[in-house]
Amino acid sequence: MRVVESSPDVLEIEIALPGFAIWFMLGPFVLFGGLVTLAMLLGGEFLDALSTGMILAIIVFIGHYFITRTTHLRLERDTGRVSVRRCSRFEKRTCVFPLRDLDSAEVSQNIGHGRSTSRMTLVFSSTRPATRVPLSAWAVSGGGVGDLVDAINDWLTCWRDANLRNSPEEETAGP
Amino acid sequence: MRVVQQSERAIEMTDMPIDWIVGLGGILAILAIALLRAIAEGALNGILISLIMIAALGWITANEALRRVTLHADRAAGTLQIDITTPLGRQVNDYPLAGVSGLEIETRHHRRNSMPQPVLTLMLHQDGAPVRQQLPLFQPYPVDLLYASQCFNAWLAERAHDVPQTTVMPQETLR
Repeated sequence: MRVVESSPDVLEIEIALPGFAIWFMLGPFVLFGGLVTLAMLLGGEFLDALSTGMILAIIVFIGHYFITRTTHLRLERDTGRVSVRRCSRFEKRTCVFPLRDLDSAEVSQNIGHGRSTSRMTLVFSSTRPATRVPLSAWAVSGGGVGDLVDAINDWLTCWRDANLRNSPEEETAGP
Repeated sequence: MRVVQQSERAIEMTDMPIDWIVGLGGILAILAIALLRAIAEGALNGILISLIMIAALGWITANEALRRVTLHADRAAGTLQIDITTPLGRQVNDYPLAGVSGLEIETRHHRRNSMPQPVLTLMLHQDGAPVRQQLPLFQPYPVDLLYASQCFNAWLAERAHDVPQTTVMPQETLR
């Protein structure tokens, strides 16, 4: 998870697991599974080697599919829109919304087995009640998510402040 | 929910949970390999267990994950068609477009863990009374629902702009 671009005009954030984490999760399956399969093959157990190899290949494929999905969040001041682009092996999908519909970003936490994990969630206020949109299917531990959420909220605050400065009549108009 | 076609005349959206199909398909493939291996070894218990698990998971996959929900609205025909297709059958519902107020997102909470679960709801007005009909989507992404409802409601609002004398803004009649 990282900030790709940050300026008063554009904020772009990429939500993806780093490469080493992907290797850390899939590597043991590939390495030890491959060795076990090879040992079976050398021992003449062709049927066992074939089925074990195929099952391992499916597990690695599914694991790779789910942990390599990425999400790009882009907030643009000029066009006044926010786009959420989801990419996976089988689909690429972009959803664009008006920036005024985005209320804030927040951290949603899951606490289980004495360990807390968090993920980033966008709050869209165009519906009642507001719709919370998680940006990733997985959650991580540590403080990185909070930093990115702060970056989004700071950028939104600056954008709203700039809008108020540009249209002072809205500011003075009372209820 | 993905917008597959949008023009002045018609809008079509479809939902297919690809992530779930990949996940459940992978598990089914592993069970199929286990079944073949049990058949090759002549293990009756293994064959029975594999068959039972394949049947149970296959039933869930066919009924839920492979359920394709297509929403097609046609301005010229004046209809909204909701097509729900599974490998086990097909159900088509037609509604007059004049009676459709729009799509809304309702946030329900999971009975077991209280996690929020957004639901796409079709808003109709029949005999002056608002009617809500939930669309049976399987584990949709909140961002897709938000985007689909935004696109559909914008498309529907164009109609009200085009013929202001003959139709009343459906959203206004509900409020």
